[in-house]
Amino acid sequence: MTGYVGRVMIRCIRWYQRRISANIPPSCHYYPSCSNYALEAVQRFGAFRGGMLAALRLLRCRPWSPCGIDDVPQRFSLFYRFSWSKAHEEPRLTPLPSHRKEQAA
Amino acid sequence: MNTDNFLLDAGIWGFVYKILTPIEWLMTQIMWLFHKLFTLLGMPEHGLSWALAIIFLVIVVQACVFPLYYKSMKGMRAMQAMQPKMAKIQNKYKGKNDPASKEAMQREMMKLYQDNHANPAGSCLPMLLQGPVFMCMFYVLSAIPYIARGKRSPLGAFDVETAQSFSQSTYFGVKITDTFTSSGTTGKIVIGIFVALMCACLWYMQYYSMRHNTAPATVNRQSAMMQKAMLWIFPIMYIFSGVAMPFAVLIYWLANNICNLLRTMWQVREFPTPGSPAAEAKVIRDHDNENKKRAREGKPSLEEEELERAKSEAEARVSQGFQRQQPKRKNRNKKK
Repeated sequence: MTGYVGRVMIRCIRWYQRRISANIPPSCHYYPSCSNYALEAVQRFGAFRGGMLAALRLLRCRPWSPCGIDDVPQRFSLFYRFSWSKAHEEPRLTPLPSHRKEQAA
Repeated sequence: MNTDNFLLDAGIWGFVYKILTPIEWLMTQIMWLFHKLFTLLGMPEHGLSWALAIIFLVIVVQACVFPLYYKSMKGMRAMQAMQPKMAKIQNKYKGKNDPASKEAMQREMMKLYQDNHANPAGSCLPMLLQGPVFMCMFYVLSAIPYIARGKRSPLGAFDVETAQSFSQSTYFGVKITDTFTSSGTTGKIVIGIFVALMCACLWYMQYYSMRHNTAPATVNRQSAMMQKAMLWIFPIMYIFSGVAMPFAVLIYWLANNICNLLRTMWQVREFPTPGSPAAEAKVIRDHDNENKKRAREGKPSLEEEELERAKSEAEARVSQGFQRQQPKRKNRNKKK
């Protein structure tokens, strides 16, 4: 479902993961890491909405923020982290089966 | 000596210090305020009050950095406490290299961090933050003589007049902007004593944490050699830099070293490395404190409690034999 811009973004993120991220020690506050999160968000929601989610995630990943599991929401919402949001999800210990199919495909 | 150009303003360092200007500005204001306060309390305008202003600036900065330090210490302790649980998770996924179980493992680890409010990555930040703050302090104190001579533009609260008042200050008979080479004999002696104290402080700090805060089990010969070398190399480096610095910087440095020493001693006392002599001492101390607390509250001490339990166990053994009693449902007899 990604358009031209989305594909370019995915290429950029993959380039970052291969060239830059692989050479520096892991320093993530969240799982999945920001780049994986961005990749999935752009793949699922497209360049604009996925990009917004990824940008918010980058803002969230800073010192003093609590760490933990933070998956891309099933339903798109910018406020999915809040418990009042309809898109809010509890942290999952096991990945969803649908995810794995998507990644394998 | 180079007296016209302020070298810290040139090149890459100049750029770095330009970025740090807000912190420098704040520091000059704090120093100026303390100086005002001490002159109000009746101290001479040019002498002791400036030296005390420097020392209090050090204390203020250390007090600002301390909460971060405390937090990272606590984080480290939380990580140590989590170690068994982490080992458990790692054991669970031992030898499983497929992506799915790797992902599951990482998720579980993250969940553990989340539940314990620990940060895997964030705990080194306070140490990184400290660096620029102390650099700023150093920069401000080195810049003042140049401001006083009109070679550098005023910085924060230090206009030319204030800077001149600062550089006229004498302390222990040494002008506060003198360096080892530019001062007289008394100055040389006083500065020499300061440098020696600085070195002694640093040496003792390292010695103290080496002696009390290293677990003997983790030390191999090479790292022990390294530690011994460090013990001497850093103080000796201080001698060379101490000789080149103005007296004001030395006052700051000595005060800072004393603060660091006190903080290290506190850290070794409260947050010792597991397995080190300090940790053993802490266990004994905690035990004694608990006993004292119980004595104050009129409860039996830990040993007495242990004895009581052993006694009742022995009695139970005599009366019931060594056979373990099967647990019984409470309402078993009532039911028919």
